[in-house]
Order: sequence, then C-alpha cells, then structure tokens
Amino acid sequence: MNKKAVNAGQTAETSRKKFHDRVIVNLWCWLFMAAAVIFYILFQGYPILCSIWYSLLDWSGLTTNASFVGLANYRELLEDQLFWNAFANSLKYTAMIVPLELVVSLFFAYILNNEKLKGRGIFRTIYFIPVITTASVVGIIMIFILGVQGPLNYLLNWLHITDTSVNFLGTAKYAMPTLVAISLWKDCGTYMIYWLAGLQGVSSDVYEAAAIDGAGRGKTFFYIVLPLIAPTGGIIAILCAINSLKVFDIIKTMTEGGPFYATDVIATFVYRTAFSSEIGMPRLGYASAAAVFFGITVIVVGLILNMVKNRLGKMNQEVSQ
Amino acid sequence: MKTLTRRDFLKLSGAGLGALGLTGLTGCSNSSQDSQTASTDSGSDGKNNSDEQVTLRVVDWSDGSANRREEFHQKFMDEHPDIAVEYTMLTVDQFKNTIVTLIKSGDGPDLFPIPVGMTLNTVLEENWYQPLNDYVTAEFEKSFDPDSFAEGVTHVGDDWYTITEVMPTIQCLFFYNQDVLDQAGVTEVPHTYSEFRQACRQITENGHGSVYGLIDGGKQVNRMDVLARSMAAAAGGKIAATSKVLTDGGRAPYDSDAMLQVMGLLKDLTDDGSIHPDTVNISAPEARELFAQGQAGFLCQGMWCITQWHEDYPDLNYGVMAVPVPDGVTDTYVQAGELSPWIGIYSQSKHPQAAADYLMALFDAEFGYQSGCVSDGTFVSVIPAVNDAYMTNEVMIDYYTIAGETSKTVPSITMRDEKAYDFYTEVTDVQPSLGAIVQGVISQSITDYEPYLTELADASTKEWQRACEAVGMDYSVLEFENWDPSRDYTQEDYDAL
Repeated sequence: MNKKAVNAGQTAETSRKKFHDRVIVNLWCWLFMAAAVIFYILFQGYPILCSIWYSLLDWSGLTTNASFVGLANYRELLEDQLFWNAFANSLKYTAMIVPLELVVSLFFAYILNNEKLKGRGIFRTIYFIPVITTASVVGIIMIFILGVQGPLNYLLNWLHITDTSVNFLGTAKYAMPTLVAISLWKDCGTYMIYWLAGLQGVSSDVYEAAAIDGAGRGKTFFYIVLPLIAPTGGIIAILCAINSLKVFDIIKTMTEGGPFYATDVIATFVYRTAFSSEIGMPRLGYASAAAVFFGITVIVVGLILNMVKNRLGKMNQEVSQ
Repeated sequence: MKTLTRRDFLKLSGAGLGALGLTGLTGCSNSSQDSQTASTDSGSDGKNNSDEQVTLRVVDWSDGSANRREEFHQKFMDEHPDIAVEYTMLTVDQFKNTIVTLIKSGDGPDLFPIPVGMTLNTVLEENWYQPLNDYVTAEFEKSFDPDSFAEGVTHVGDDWYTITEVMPTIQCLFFYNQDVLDQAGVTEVPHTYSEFRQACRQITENGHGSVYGLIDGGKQVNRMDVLARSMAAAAGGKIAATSKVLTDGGRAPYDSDAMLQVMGLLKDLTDDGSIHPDTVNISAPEARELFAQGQAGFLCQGMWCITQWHEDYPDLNYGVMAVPVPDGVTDTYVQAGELSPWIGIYSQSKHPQAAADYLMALFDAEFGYQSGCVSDGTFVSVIPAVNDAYMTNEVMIDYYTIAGETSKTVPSITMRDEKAYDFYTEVTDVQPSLGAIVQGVISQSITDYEPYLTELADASTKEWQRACEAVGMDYSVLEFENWDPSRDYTQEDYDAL
C-alpha cells in the first residue's frame, strides 16, 4: 500500500516536473519567436484582417462613407471576366515559371556545387546579382533591351534568326513568356542558393561510393543525388509557386498587365481596382475581395503542394528502405 | 563571476522586451508631444512668429516643372529664412495611395492637391482643406484670371479652397517632327484621316524599320482614353472629356459613328505598320523621348512636352498641329480643357499662414516659378500678367492658338445639378475601358473592335443609370439636348435647359 502510494507520489512528481520543463521550453520558444510574432501581427496579421473587413464594404478607400455590403463584392467577382482572366494568367505564369525555375536553378547549383570548379564563388555571386537588383530597374532596362529597336532584336536580326523585329512585350502571345523568361533570370539565384544548401547536405561519401560502383555523373545525379535532395526540391517548389502567384513588380513595371490584359495577374488587377479609376472613384472594397479570394487560392495551392511533397517524401523513404 | 542561469536570462530578456515596448510607447508619446509643442508654438491663429522656425510640408505630382520648382523653393527659403520647405514629388498613383493614410493619421502635409478623380465637394465633406481667404491678400486674389475660379472647383460659396495649377488647355494635340517629315518627303502637315494615314505610311516606308508614323505612350491606358475621346470629338462626336460623363441620345457614346471612325483609323494605321511597335510597351514620357530621337513623325500629347524638349533636345525641329478629322468633316472641335482643382491648405495644418505665403510666392511672377514655366512652355499660367509678359516660346504660342481655335467648351453635369458631385463619387469604372480597347486595337489583340465598343457603351449606360439612381439624380441630367459641339456651351445654354 505504502509502496503504491510512494510510486503514485513519484509519478505525480515526475508529471509535474515534465509539465514544468515543458512550460519552460515553451516559454523559451515564445521568447525567441516574440519579435517575429509581434512584427507578423503588426505588419501581416493586422492588414490581412483589415483586407477581410474591407472586402465586405463598398468603399473607395478615399472617403469615410463606406457601406457594408456583405458578400456582394465576392458575388460580383464570380461574374467578372477580367478577374478570371487575371486569375488564369496568375496560374498560367506559375505553371510556366515553377518547372523552369526548379530545373534551371538546380542545373546551376549542381555545377557550382562541384568543389573542383575554379572561381565558383565568383560565379555564385554573378548568378545572384539579379536577385538583389530592384525589379523596377530590371523592368526599365529590359524594356530597352527587348524593344523593337533594342539590342536583342538587333542580335537576332544580325544572326539571321529573325527577319523582322519581334515585339516581345507588345504582342499578346509573346508578352507572358517574355515576362517568365525575365523573372526566371531574375529569381534563379535565390532558388540556386536553396538547391546548393540541399546539395551540400549530400555527403561526399555518397559520390565516392557511386564512383566506385562505376556510376557516371548523369547516373549519380539522377539515381542518387536527386532522390536525396527531393525534399528540398519540394520546399523550393512550394516557395516558388507561392512567390509566382504573388508576382507584381516586374509585371507592373514592364507591361502594366497589357497588352489588353494579356499579362494582367491578380496583383495588377487588385492594384488597378484599388488605386486607379478613369471615371469615378477606385474600389478598395472590391479589390480587397479579389485579394482575399486569391489569397485563399494561394493557401489551397500551398496545401496541395505540401501534401504532394509529403507523399513524395514518404515514397522516397520507402524506396530507400 | 556569477553564471547567468536560464531563469536569470528569462528575467533579463523579459525586462529587455518590456523596455523595448516602453521605448515604442515613449516614441509615440514623444511624437505626439512634439506635435503638440509645434501646435502651441504656432499659435491659435496660425500666423507665424518671425523668430519661429517652421517646416512646411508640400506634396504633389508636378514632375513637368520639377527644376523650376526646385529653384523656386531655394528662392522662397532665402526670402523666408524662418520657413523650411519639405517638398515631396510623387506620381499621381503614389499620391493617391499615400495621401489618405497621411490624413487618417492626422499627419497630412500642409499643402497638397486633390487626388485625381475626387471633387472639391467630396474632400470638403472629409474635412481635408481649410479656406484660404483669411491667409491671402486681396491683391493676390485679384492677380488671377477670373476664369480660373469656379464654384465646386476652387470655391464653395464665398470660401476659396484650392488654386488651379494652370489655365486649362487641351491635353491632346499632335506634335510633328519636321526633320522626319522632310526626310520622308511629307511636305504638308496632314489635316484629314487620309492625309494623316498617307503621311504615316510614307514616314514608315522611308524609315525602313527605324522610323514610324505615329508613337504614343500606349502602356498608359489613360493616355489612350484621351486620344480616343479627343479624336472622336474632332470627328464630330458628342463625348465628354476624359474622366467626365455625358450621354448622347440617352446612351454612353462609346459606340458612336465618330468613335467607330477613330478606331477604324487606328486599326488602319496598325495594319499599315505605321504605329511604332513599342507604343504598347511604353509610357508617355518614353514616347516623348523616342519622338524627340526621331523614331516617329507624330506624337499625340500635351503642352508639357515642350519644356522637356526645350531642356533635353534644344535642337529638336518640331511643330504642333490640330487633331486630324475624317475626310470631308468640317467645323468640328475637341473638348476644351476643363478647370480642375489643385492645391489647397490642409485643414489640420499647423502653419496655414506659412502655407499661404508659399502659395502667394508660387503664383508671384517675381519668384520666377510662373514666369519660368510659361517661358519654358510648360503651361499657361492662371496669372494673365505672367502670360502676357513671358509667353514667348513659339511652339507654345502655336499650341495655345491651335488649342483655342480647335476646341469648344462642352457641358458639365456638375454645373447643372449639385448631385452630380455625388454621382462622380458613386460611379465606377467599366472594364475593358475605352483606353484599354484602343490598346487592344494597337497591339492587335482586338481585330473586331465594334463588339467591344458596343459592350462598353451598354455596360457604361447601365452603370451610369445605377449611379444616378443611387444618388437620387435624374438620369436625364447626363443629356444636354441643346448642346451643339460646334460652339461653346455657355451659361445661357444651362439656363435654357
């Protein structure tokens, strides 16, 4: 009886200690996260809540006479062809750029991960420079380079690749692929760094073992390295997809969503609706509804991609076992 | 040495965070204290004490006269050592995004313009401005052109709230590059659509892919809107100027015969390859640059180009001509420029007298801003004496003369019914807009423009009817049955309605 009571007391003491330790650990965690959480609430959380509230209003954003309209803005959105055009363009842009971004950045990362490559630090810096260049500056320079009388068209004509100048940004069918190419060039460095982090996690023993077994560079990459860095790839794909769905600056600078809405994405649609109008007042409430609606879409896409990543991760584990 | 335990670290960190929070709060209280101090110092009547240092915050978007403005600020501060001018120049969009936040936070600039698209009545309901009357002199008021004052634009009743930046002139005449025309063998300035199309074709053929007939800032949909409306009016259409609303036969006039003719001309020019291919990708300032570099024969823009070319391309050999009209059409006119409100004193300004002093200097010929801008060809001043003495730029005089000869005042719904101010607050854009459709035609995204124009006219009519109903204004207010576009619409015409 006494022994049981002693055991019970010890168990209770152990539970209390575990609880106490858990509280301490949690406190530490919250302490280290505090700055980020506070800033998130101030600069992300609060504006998100505001946007949700604004989306329920008929409001220009310029005056105080906002009126509550419930879900009317959302209902109007569903019938707005230009909203769906922008929605489709955002998805199209993402579908085009994510695979390209993953492949090209991995290619550069794999080359630059080779320790025998001389000057790889310099190359890494060179590939990263576009990332730190302001998008609006890139946009202005690219408009000049891609212009009908710009250097690229001059080169294409000089090499007899084209007979006449190509209007890269002024023709609907070329405008979106051109923007994708520029974004690819600009953002490739970021994803290259992510891939490099993943590649550097692959032990050199693996490469040596593969070499001893007679695997060439191609086989080593596709059958050994790629499966090992696939989880990193999943994360990169999610980040790239989310960033691409939010694309704004490069499109705003280069085409403003034109020609005739051919490159109009959700961000430019929201900007135009919220801040500019040719007749009357802008519509901040309606623009907020579009932003919230699309924000939910981005979350859904992110969740789906995350599920796919986890599934691939599990499959990968099963294969390696 | 004592070891720092986890508990100690938590305590210290907590204290640190607390201190940070307090600092933030203190920061807030400090700033409000500063504001309070400034407010007290400036005195309840807003008049400046001579020994008090005042920082006057001015925000606007006057990029066309940036250099002159800079010179003016220096001179003003030299004359008023107690006033430091803090000037911020934004784009129209940036200004619109920023000003509401500034005002909501009670930190609006002392002087700022009314955002494009808003009316004086609307902003007064929001308590943005205070009257100038108490702070400016009678001589200052007398120096203005009486036509630069208008109820609902600068004044509400006896109270004077805003000053217009310039005397209104039309924003759309055609500039031609004389050297380009000469090289292409175009000897006469075109007047009709067929002459214009032929001249553009000749220039393009002679340019061999380097020079084109027409260029414009097609990335800016608003510029395309101005182009289409001006050309439609010149083709005899009854259509309001940009951002204004008028019906023709009870309908939004976007699919009128005149508008169809305009679109037809633009499509023909596009099919001919006579429009500079970069037109769709570039903004108005970029188009202005390429025109000056000799890449196009014609450019449709406003008077503001003159000063830019005067500074950057002093040798540019160019002239200005009227908007082309359809063949056989005579006695047609574009919409005369409408007075629009510009700058006023913030209702919560702590330095209204300094702000008024700034305005009086800005519109005083002795300070050089008005005279400099007029002599550069930037704008026609609201001070007639300045125009008389300094309007010497030949192209500017041509522009002003042609604008006067080829434009007529069109009716305004705000002159007819006060509820029209509410209408403009209520009405929303219909997309694809007129400017976007022009862009679509030029970029060849639209090959058959008629359905787009019909849809725009139908949707706009519906939206205008809805907005009228929402503000309790009769839809028929948008229709002026006694409007004859070949003559100015006058007060007598309003009275006769």
